Amino acid sequence: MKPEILLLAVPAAPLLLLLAYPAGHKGLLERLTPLAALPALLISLLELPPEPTLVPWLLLGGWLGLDETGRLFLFFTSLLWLASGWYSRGYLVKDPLRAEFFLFYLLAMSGNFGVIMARDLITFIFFFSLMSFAAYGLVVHTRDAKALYAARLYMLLVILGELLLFAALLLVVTAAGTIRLDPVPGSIPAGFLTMALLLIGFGIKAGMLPVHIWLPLAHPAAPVPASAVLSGAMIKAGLLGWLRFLPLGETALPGWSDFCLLMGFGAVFYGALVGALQHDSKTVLAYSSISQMGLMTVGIGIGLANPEQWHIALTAVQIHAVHHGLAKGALFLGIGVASRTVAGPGLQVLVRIGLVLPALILAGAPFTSGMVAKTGLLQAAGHLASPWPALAASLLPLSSIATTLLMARFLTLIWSEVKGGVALNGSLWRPWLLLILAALASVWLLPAARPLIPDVLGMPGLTAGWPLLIGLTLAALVYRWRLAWKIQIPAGDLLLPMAWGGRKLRDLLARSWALLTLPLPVPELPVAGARRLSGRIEQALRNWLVVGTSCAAILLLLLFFLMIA
Amino acid sequence: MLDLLFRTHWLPLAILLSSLLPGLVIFFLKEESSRWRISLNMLGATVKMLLIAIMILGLDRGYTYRTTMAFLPGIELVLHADPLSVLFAALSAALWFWTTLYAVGYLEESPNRSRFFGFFSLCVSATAGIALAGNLITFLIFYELLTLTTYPLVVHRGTPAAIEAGRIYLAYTIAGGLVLTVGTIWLWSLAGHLDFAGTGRLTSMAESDHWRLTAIFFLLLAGLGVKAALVPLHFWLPVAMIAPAPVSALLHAVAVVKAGAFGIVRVVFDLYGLDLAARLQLLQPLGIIASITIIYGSLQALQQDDLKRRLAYSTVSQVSYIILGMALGGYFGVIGGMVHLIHQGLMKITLFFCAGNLAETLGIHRISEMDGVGRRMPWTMTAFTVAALGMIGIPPMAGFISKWYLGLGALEAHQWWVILVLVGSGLLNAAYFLPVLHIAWFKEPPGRWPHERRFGRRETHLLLLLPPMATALLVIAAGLLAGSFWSPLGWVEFIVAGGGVK
Repeated sequence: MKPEILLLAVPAAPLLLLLAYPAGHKGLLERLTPLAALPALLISLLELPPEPTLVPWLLLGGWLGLDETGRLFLFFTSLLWLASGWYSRGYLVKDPLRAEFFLFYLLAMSGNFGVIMARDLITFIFFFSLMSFAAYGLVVHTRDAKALYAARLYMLLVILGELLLFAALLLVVTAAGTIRLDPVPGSIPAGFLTMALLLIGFGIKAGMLPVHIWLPLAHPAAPVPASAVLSGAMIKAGLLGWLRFLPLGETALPGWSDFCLLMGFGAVFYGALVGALQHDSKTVLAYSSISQMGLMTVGIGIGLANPEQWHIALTAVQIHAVHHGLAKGALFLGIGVASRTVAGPGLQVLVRIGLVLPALILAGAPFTSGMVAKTGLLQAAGHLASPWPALAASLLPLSSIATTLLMARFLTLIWSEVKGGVALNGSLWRPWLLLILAALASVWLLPAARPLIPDVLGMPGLTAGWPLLIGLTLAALVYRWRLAWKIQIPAGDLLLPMAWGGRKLRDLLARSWALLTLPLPVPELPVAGARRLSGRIEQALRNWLVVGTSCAAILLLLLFFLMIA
Repeated sequence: MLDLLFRTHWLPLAILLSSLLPGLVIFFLKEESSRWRISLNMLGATVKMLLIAIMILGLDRGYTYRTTMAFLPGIELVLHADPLSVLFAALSAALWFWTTLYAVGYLEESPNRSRFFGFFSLCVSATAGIALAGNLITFLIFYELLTLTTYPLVVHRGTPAAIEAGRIYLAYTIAGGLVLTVGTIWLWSLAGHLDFAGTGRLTSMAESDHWRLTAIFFLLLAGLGVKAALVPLHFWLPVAMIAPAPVSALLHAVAVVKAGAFGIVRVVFDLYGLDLAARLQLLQPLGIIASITIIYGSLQALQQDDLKRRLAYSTVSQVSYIILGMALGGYFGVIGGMVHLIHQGLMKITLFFCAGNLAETLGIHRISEMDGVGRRMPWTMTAFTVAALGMIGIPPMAGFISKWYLGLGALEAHQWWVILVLVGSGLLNAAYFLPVLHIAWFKEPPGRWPHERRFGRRETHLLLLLPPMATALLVIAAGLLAGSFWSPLGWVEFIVAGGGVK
């Protein structure tokens, strides 16, 4: 088979399945949705040549391919879409708008796969937009007031991101002289504008401070399986954008590196602190995503400082992306399992274990992928200019404390929700279990992670575990002193002052706009003669037969002369 | 055999006649003989598309088509086909085909159909003439004919509001035509030639007649700008949307507004030539006028609740993309502008078809009445969504391709502010289209629609449904398959390469 057909099949499979919707086979659509992710999963496991393939008819000549980063991203992304799609069938079983959900789910899935496989920037932005716009349907799905508000905010930032990226890509293409992605990191102009546009444009999707405001509202607003893919997979498209476009491993940009490190560490702790004060388990998880993406931003910052050490930082970022994606997916799916299933105390214990495991992974407990990822980041940070190595050495363990705090908060919120008495639903717990197992196992199977594993295994359990203990103590204090009740920060945190400023600005604009748009009368032709003339013409024209035939006659006459000429 | 077909020099004439003759016959058909009328119309539309297809193949193989006749001493009437004229002719032929189908469904059982379809055909003939005109005089004649043949379509309903709208329409377009005529005559007396072919003949006068050439340029621009709805000459357009939906669709997508824009493209690209226009420093003001129009039209669109009025202001804004592209003057800018000639036509005609469907099927005219309409008319609204997303410039729709090239053109010409215009316009487009989509898809439908007609199991009349779906598919195809030679983009690159633009 030609490689391009194989590559095209990945984003095309969900789109083809969509045809079942207008054909009226809505049941088929539901049943096959998880399978639509199968081609992607299979291809991510194949050894394909890393060179991109040209699909000449696609957009402006589309390039598709899978490099190492792409394979990793496609692997965990497709697994997540598969598990969540499977899970949706059980979760939405009584939802009257089920079919619409699957429609948007498939569209967003195709976009997410395509973004990963795109090797030219037009194809990249096409799939990126497809994913972003389709996810609107997932966020707005429940149609209650919260979802509507969240969806509006989401769309506002999607549009903002699209426009920033539009400008950024124009600059990139003009500098690179080609639409292909491979030469981009080596040729992008390191000017302020391009870098700022790229960082913010993709940062919106990746939940970077301070453009994260939509995320704690939109991710929880969607139904549980959609939250899982939003927070586990789609958020990573922003990260992928950075990996594809920023001059990582090519040019040292110390200023931007400091910016990313600051914003990254800022997000790690800010997300954790605000998240720990939330009252909704899904919102806590959304803040945890902001916090975790902060760690990946730190990785980008390391890469921007030190091109030679980029490969170490890249490995750390990749491991982080995989492990956060799978663990966060498992946590989200766990919410639905906890509140819907389980009969008997034995199973309840199992569900609780299933909830704790991914939380431990995310917090970087000893011998988990979280630990591996952090070890990688620490190693990469060692090559930075001072004071960053020392700072990173203390901040990274602190970040484990922050994550533990968040996870503990999540577990206290969800703990009481684990119910008995409802029938256990196979299409809920099976995909959940799949993700937990994948999260536990995958990083140990990743070839890129292997060099780090001896370091992790060599660590004495106690030194590796102390951040976890401190985090748990802090969480106990938050719980004990009822801090979440004393300090109330609504989801969206910075959104409030921003919205206030926005309203003021809008009022101001409205006032000046009102001056500009005073109702203007349609101007009349000032000359009376012209008016009479147009009146007479009109009289004549109203007799349509006269006009029609005379027009036609003129035309015919002209043509006649043309023919004999 | 094929060679013989390509070598036929009467091809431009035949293209004109293919819509003119059916139009003439239709005038004399009885009101009831709708079967004859439809067959004639569709026959003409099909023949026209075939002829243009032959012409495109011929041009691709290097054949030329040119017919001339003496008109006045020293002035010839010329019909000729270059790649640019074929671009516009193909657009008008393809959209005529779909609009005619649509109009058949739309006007079923309504009075005065012979008059309507007769003028409809004449209007398309005039558009084809504009496309094939080989010099400014020929262009002017067809341009004026277009004014006259569209007037009866605008006032078709015969209501006082329609008559009033027609009066305003005539006042504007005839005044514009006069200005254009003055400019044309002045240019002829100055240069002695008005040919679109042979770019660069005016260049020798760049030094001696600098101011005169500039003045003529702005006269021509003012004359053409009326139809192209440049601010502040755009007032007639939102008023004229009182016309029946197929007329609005044709007016906004290909006939009147596009004729103005096409004329400006001709003047800049062929009559003056980009080099001369740049030397005379005409491009910068042109770009500023276009930019103001783009932003102003969008701001106005934002305030309309009437769906067709919102679409009308959106046309004001979007058509100026074409002019903006010409004003940028470089390789990418010109491509972006020219390709938008097609892309805007496809997108806007889809939107108007859909607006017409809502009005005819459910009696919906206002955006505030569109709650949940996506569930009642999913196919119509899918087409609407595709076109609206294209207008915003979301890939892979056609609109993205235009905007992308315009953006590249702006960077190439070092006109940074144009990026801001594009981004701002995208934002405004999103602000006035996305709420419509949200309302239509995600709100609960009301208990009953303002004025509902039932069409069995289908959401609406089949003839009202097929055209918007076909054009929406074209909107996607023009973007998704932009890389192929036969896409609008591929053809425009062919035109621009032939024009020697670097």
